[in-house]
Amino acid sequence: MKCRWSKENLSAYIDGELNIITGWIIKRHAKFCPECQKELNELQKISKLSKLLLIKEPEFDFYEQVREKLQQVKIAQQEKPEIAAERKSIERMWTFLPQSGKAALLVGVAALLFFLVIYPQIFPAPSLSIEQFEEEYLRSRETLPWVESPALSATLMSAERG
Amino acid sequence: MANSDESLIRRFKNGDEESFKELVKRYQARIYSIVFAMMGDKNDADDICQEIFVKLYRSLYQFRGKSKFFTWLYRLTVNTCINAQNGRKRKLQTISLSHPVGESEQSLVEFIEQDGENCSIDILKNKELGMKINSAIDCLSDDLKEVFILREIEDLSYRELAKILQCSEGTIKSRLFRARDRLKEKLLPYINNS
Ligand SMILES: [Zn+2]
Repeated sequence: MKCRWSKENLSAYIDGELNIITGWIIKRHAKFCPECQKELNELQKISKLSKLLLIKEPEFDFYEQVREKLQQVKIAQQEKPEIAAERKSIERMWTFLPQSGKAALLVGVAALLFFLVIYPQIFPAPSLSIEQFEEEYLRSRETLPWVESPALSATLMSAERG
Repeated sequence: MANSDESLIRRFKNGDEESFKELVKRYQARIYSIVFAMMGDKNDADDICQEIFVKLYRSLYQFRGKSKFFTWLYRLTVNTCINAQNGRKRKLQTISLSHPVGESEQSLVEFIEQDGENCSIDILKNKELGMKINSAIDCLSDDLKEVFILREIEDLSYRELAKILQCSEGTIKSRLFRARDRLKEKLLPYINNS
């Protein structure tokens, strides 16, 4: 029974997380039990080697890279203050609307969706301008080049990695 | 005397950008090591590490000092890594459905799972041992991996780990025990001869 208990506590023992008495019992047991002593040595070795392997240094200009990324985020945010203001005012309107007003608004939206499904010809679909889409896409890529690259290249990159 | 984290944060909140630089320099190696170990890839580690410090910059104003700063920063780090890993797993699933993985693309993870018995110990060099350990760590489930990495890199106490990972100290103890048990199982043929 002692060996099993001892082995279960060896991990906490090497971390120095056992109370003095339990730590002392483990230490004494391992001294006279070759099997537990061997296991203790193995655990210590794994811990030591892992530590050596896990500790890494980032590139020397890491801070400059972070600053650059911060600038990109700032520019991207400055471009859309009117959208944020608009969203805030809508949120405020919604908060101050009485319960009945909220209900009426929801019923209205539901009715609109209903008619949209039944009589789609009443509401002509806006035509999708590919040029406009591309223009907007390129602009967003210029301001935030590290954001989501196109799905295809992401797939290829992960395929290479895998 | 070196500035404490708290005084740097106070200065940053008062508009001193230099103190943010000092915080980055102070923590960059530790955060980078954790992220590298969690992600297992240099490019991912570079990107995610930058993302973490950008998030830090933008949320530092909200830091109220209720917990220790490093607890808060490590929690941010672990969460960002887990989110990135989930995203990557989804991506890999999509790929494996459309492109079956060929034999030449066998991962280190599969390698260490297969070669346990056949590999002759004398041909192992230190570099290879390093690879084995890295892939054995990589094989751990996320909950075991994060606690093992944080413990080994940072030497954090069980109490601090419990705060960062938001679980009990008992859970930390049992996860570390299980993580080391799995590693020992995989690495035993190599470590006794290194
Ligand atoms: Zn024993």
